[in-house]
Amino acid sequence: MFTELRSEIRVIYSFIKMGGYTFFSQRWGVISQFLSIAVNVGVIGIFAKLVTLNADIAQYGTPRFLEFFVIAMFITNLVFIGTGSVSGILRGANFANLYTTPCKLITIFIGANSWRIIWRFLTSFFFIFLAVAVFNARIYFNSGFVVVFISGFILMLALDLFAAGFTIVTKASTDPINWFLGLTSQLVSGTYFPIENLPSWLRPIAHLHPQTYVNKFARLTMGGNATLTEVWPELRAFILTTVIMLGIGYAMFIYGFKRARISGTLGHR
Amino acid sequence: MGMIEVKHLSKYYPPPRRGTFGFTDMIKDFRRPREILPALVDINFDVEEGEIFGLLGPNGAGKTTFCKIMNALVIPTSGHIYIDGYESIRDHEKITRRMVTIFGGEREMWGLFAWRVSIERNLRYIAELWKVPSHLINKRIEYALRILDLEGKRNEWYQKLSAGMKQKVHLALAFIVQPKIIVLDEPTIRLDVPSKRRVHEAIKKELCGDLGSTVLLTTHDMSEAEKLCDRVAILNTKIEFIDKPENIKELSKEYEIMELRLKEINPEIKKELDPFVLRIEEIQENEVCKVKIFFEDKEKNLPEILGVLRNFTVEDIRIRTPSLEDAFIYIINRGEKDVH
Repeated sequence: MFTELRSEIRVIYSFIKMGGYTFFSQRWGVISQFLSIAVNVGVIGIFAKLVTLNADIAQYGTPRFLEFFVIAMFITNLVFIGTGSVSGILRGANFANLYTTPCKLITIFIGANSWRIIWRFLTSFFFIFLAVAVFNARIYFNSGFVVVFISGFILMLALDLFAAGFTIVTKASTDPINWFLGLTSQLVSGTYFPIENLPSWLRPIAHLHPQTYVNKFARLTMGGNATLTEVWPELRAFILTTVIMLGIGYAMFIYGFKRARISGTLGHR
Repeated sequence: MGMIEVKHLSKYYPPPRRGTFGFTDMIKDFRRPREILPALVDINFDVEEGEIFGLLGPNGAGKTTFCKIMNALVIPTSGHIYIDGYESIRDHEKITRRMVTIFGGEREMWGLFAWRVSIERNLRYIAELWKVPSHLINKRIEYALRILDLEGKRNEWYQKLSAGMKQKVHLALAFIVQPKIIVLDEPTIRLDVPSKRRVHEAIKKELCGDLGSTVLLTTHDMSEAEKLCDRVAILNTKIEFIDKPENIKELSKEYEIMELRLKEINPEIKKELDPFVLRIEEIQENEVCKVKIFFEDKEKNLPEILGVLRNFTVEDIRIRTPSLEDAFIYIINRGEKDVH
């Protein structure tokens, strides 16, 4: 079993190397990514200093708008790694080729996303580093943050598994679940302002959106330095939802995968 | 026991929905009875170890579906394919260690290769994906580059190669993984004549001779099948014929082929020839009209055919022995003529 695990890790490492070779073959692409992060932080910092919110943002553990905003941007960037990680690969033409290799299905999905995950982590932490270094943002990384990040990531992954199963069954060219999440994530999940400031008819959507809870718990832990024990009473309901959604998403994925193999559409674009 | 055993394999697809042009069309389409489309019907054959087996068939004959079932990308409606004793769907993971499929269509293999990365690095990545032992990777890459005349291209980006060169790189996969079974889908479709010859030699001598691999080749190129295959099966949803290439050609000795070059194709000519021929094929090449006539019982029918042709302007007439390609067309269209 250990030999098998080692060989799967070796495959993931190969995916990472190829991702790196491809990425660094576009020198201007790399430079422009770092430049755009620096510009983003600059704009966010200035924006945060200029804006005054008529809302109680201290309840989230972030008395200043800078931390309120930066933490939401950072966590959104990280947990959204799960979005498209399965459905995107499954819809791509490359999947059929990868499926003929002796790699396990999970290795294919991890491997194909590995470079994206590494790069997203690097750029997200670079973003936070700049915010701390340039604008003196007060950010904490504790065990509470780790649990919030992992559960948020798994929830997004679960929704993507569901979306993958749904799109290969319906052969839909667009993915309505990830489309909805992407469209509404910044508008209703409280990235720019607390959800209490939304019109009353939009608040139910905000309460349904997983990003709302991810933002809230991330602000409490990263901004307010709340420990895991402190956020646990509220966080456990979120974790339970994540576990249930993971089960539903996985079942939908397995069902869709089998249906696609019966109708011969696996790997079709 | 054969290396590949196909037992009563059938695949029926649900039909694709028709294009819809508005709400009414969409409702009609949903209410339409869902008939099924046969892709493969009761396929049975065995491929022996070390054999090069050709699967020939026109477009839509079921060749791709067959390859997809071998790779567990499609689940058959009934029947099984056993590969080295393992069932293709149930034992997919075990089969992937024994079999490599190389699709000939340029786009099908693109995803596996990184465009802005050198050929050598791409091949190393492929070797690692297929879990080739580390100590063998360098040796096998060198071997593949040498066999396929790609040594001079090793440091070039994949995207800079011509379509033919890319196809050679795809073929390198077989030489690097060195599996027991290789499925080649149109392996030389974009190659020039010298490269094609080199690849044929490599398949026959290196892959089958030295490495002892069993090859399943799907192709439209009859001369390729004739040159490479020990046996061929003609597939047109069901297996129409299965034998050695020379025996298939033998079958076509039952009839003759006459090729005509005409100034223009007159519809009357077909009508008048019909009682004396098996089949008439029209070929328009640039501005030249050609007609291929398949007929049997030369002594009886030839004078009649020539009699008909006297009434038309014929620029050239040639009678020749049927090739494997003609035999293939004859077998595929045999059913149609029987209906007549």
